[in-house]
Amino acid sequence: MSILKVRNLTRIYGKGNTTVTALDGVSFSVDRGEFIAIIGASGSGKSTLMHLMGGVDRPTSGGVEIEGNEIFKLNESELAVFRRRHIGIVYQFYNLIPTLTAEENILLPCLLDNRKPDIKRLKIILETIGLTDRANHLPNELSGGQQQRVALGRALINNPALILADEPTGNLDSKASREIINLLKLSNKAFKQTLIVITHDENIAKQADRVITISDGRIARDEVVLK
Amino acid sequence: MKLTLSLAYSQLRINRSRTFWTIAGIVLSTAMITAVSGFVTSADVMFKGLVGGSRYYSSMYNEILFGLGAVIGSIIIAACIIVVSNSFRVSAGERIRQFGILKSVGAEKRQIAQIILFEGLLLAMLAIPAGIVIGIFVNYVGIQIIDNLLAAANRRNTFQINFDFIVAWQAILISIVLSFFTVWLSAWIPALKASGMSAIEAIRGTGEVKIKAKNIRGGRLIGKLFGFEGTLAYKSLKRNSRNFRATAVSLAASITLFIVAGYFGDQYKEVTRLYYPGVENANVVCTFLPPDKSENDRESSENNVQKYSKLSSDIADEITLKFREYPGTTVFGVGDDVLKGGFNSYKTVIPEEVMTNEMLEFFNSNEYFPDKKGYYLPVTLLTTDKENYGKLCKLAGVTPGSNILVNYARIPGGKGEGKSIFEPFLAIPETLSLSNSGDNSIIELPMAGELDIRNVPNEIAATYVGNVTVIVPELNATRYIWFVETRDAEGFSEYANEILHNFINFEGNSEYIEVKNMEDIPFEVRDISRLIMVFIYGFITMLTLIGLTNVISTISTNTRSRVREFAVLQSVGITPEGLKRMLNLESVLCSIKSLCIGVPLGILGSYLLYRAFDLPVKLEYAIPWMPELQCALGVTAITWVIMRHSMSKLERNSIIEMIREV
Repeated sequence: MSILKVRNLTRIYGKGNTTVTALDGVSFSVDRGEFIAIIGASGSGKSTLMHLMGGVDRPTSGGVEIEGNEIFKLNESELAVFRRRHIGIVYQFYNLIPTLTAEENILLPCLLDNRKPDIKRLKIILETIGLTDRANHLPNELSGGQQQRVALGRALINNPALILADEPTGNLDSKASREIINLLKLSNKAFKQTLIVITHDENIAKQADRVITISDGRIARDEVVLK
Repeated sequence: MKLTLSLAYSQLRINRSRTFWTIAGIVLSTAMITAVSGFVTSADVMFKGLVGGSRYYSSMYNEILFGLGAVIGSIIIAACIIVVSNSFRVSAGERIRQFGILKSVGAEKRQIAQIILFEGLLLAMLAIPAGIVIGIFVNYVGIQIIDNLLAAANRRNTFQINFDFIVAWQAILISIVLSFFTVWLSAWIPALKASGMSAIEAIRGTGEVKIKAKNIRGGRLIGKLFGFEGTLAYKSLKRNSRNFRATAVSLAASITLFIVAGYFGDQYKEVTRLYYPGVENANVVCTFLPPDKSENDRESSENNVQKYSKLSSDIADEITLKFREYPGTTVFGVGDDVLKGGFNSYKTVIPEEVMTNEMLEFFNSNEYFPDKKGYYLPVTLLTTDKENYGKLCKLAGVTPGSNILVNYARIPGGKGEGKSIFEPFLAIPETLSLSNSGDNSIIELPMAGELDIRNVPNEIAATYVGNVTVIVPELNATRYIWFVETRDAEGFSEYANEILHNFINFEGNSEYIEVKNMEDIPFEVRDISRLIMVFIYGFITMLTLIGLTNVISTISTNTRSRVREFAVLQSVGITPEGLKRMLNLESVLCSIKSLCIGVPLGILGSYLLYRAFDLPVKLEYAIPWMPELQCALGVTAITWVIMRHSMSKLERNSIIEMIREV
C-alpha cells in the first residue's frame, strides 16, 4: 500500500523571463516501510522535490498525498499541524533551535502539538542515538554528528509516517556519516519508518531499497536495488 | 587597503536595512547636536545683546546656558553611542561567520578591524553631512517658532527679544567632531571583539552569541499561561539574553531619559505655577481696583475714609452672573483685601508650634524675631464668586460659609536676597485673630478647613500675595478680578465695560474699572515659560525619535538574524499563529525586562534631579507616574508593532527560502 503519492509535481521559480523550472511533472509513489534514495546532480531538483514532499514549499502544479491526505489542500495552519504529526525532516545543516537543549529539541514537534511528551519513547530515542548523557546540552555544545543525531531524534519523536532527509551526511565526516546512516536504517527497520534520503553518496544509495535519479527536474531512472 | 574598503562597501550594500537604520541613527544624533549647538549660539548672541557688557549677568547666563548645553549634549552623545554601537554590535554578530571565513583564507586581525572601521567611515561620510543639514533646518524652524512666540510679547514690550538664526562654523565643527568620534567609538568596540576571535570560533558562530544552558525557573508557569509557544519565547529570551540585551538596553535608556525629562517638565510647570501663577485660559481680565489717590489724600484728610473704596461680594456676584450671560463665556471672580502697594489690611500671630524648622531657621537667618505669642505675619483675605466658592468648600470638605486656610505660607526673605520659601504649616490653628493695622480692631476668624496651594485653582494662585491666605465666604474687596474665557474677546470687553459701569459707580469715577484683553498685557513670565516648555518637549521628541530608531534597528536585526530558527520551527510544525504568539510574547517579555531596568533608573534619575535643584519652593518628591505609564504603554506598543512588522516581511518568504537565506 502506498503511503506517499507524488502526482505530476511541477515547481517553477521566478517570474517572466527569468523562470526556472526546478521540477517538471514528477510522479511516483512510495510504499510503507520503503527506504528510498533520491540522487542527482546539483541543481537537478532533488531538494525542491523534498521540500514539496515535506510540505514546506507549495508546488506550481500537481499534488502530494501522504497517508491519503492531499497536503496542499490544507491551509498554512493545518499544514503545520500535519507536518509535526506526519513528517520528520532532517536537514544537511542540522537546523536545531539554538536556545533549546538536545532533549527539548527532540521533543519540539511533540510539545508544539501540546501533547504530553512520551518519556518512554524519548528514552528509547536518546538511547538509540546515543545521547542519553548529553540530553541537557545546548546545540553549540555538541559536535556536528551529535547535532545531526539530535535532528534525527526530532524527526522520529512523533513516529511520523515519513522521514525525509536532505543530504543528512553532507556535513559530516565518514565515521559520523556511517552512524547517521545506520541510525536511519535502524529506524526504518525497527520503527517501520518510511525513509526518503536525498544524497550524493553512492554508498548510501546502494543501501536503499530503491533509487530514484532526478535530472533536470524529471525522473531519469527509478530502479529497485538488487541486494 | 583597497580590498578591505570594498568589502566594507559591499557589506553596507548587502545589509540595506541595517545600513539604513544606522544612518538614521547617526543622522538624527548629528542633527540633534547641530541643532542644540545652534540654539546655544543664537541664545548666546541674544543674551549678549540683551545684557550688554554686564559682567554679573553674563557670568550667570554663561553658567546656565553652557551648563544646560553640556547636560543636553552629553545625554545626546550617550543616546547616540547606544544607537550606533548597538547596530554595529548586532551587525558584527551577524557577520561573525563571514569574518571567520576571511580569517581562514588569511585575513589578519588588523584587516578585519579595518573593514568595520571603513564601514564606520563610509556611514559617517554619508550620514554626518545629512545630519548637519537636517540639524540646521531644525534649528531654523525652531528659531522661527520661538520668534513667533516672542513676537506677541515684543509688540507690547519696551525691550525686544529676538533669536537670530545663526549658522556658526564652530557649532558645525563641534557636531562633526562629536558625531565622528561617536561613530568611530561605536565601530571600534565590536571591531575589537570580532577581530579578537579565533577563525574556527567565528566560523562556528559560537563566539558572539553565547547561549547558556542555565536552569530556567518560571518557565512552567509561563507555559501554563501561554502554551508551549510561551515557553519557547521565555527560553529564547533567557538563554539568548545577549541577543536581546541590545534591545533591552536601548529601550531602557529611552525609558529612563523619557521619565527624567518628563519629570523635569512637570516639576518646571509646578514651580513656575507657584512662583508666577498665570491664568492661561483667560483672554479677558476685568479688574476692580481703586486708583492711587495718594496725591488727593494729602489734600483732604476726610477723604481718608474713602481712601479705599470697596466692592461687596453681593455686587461682585451680581456682576459675575451678568458676565456669565454672555454666550460662550466662563467666569472666575476673585476678590481680596490687599491695599494699594501690596499692603495687607490685617496681621495675625502664628504660634511657633505650627511652624516648620525651616520656616523658623529662615526667620532667624533674616533676623526676624518672634514676640511672646509667635510671629506676626500679614494675612490676605480672599473670596471668590459663589459658584467657585461652593466648589472650593467641597474640595476642602467644609460646609459653605466656612473659612478655609490656604495652607501654604510664603515667607519672604529679607535683606534683598529675594529668596522666599513656600511651605505648609505643621497644623492649622483653630482660629486666627486678625488685627487691623489701621484702626487696631481685632477680628477672630475660625478656620474650618485647609487647602493646599497646589489644589487651588490658578485664578486664586495668581492673585495670591499674602504670607497667610484665608478664603472667606464674603468680603468687602479692595480689589476684585474676573478671569474670563470667552469666544469673542472684543465683544465681551465692550459688554463688560458697560456692565461694570452700571454696577460700580463710586463717586462717578470710572478709574476703578479696567477691562483688559490679554493680548495687551505686557511681556510676562508665561511667555518665557512657554519657550522653555517648547524646548523641553522638543528635546523629549528628539530623544524619543532616537530611541525609536535604536529599537527598530535592534529588533529588526534580531528578527532577521533568527530567520533560520523561525523557518526550522515552521518546518517542524509550528503554526503561523503559534509563531505569532511566540513573537508577541517575546516582545512583551522584552518590554517588561526593559521597563524593569528603565523605570527604577528613571525614578532614581528624577529623584537625583529633585535633590540636585535647590528649589526655594518646598515640593515633596513625587514619583512621576504619568511619564511611567506613557512609557509602559508606548514601549509595549512599539516593540509589538516593530516585531510584527519585521515578521510580516518574513512571512512573505516561504520556509525554504528562509532556511536557504542563511
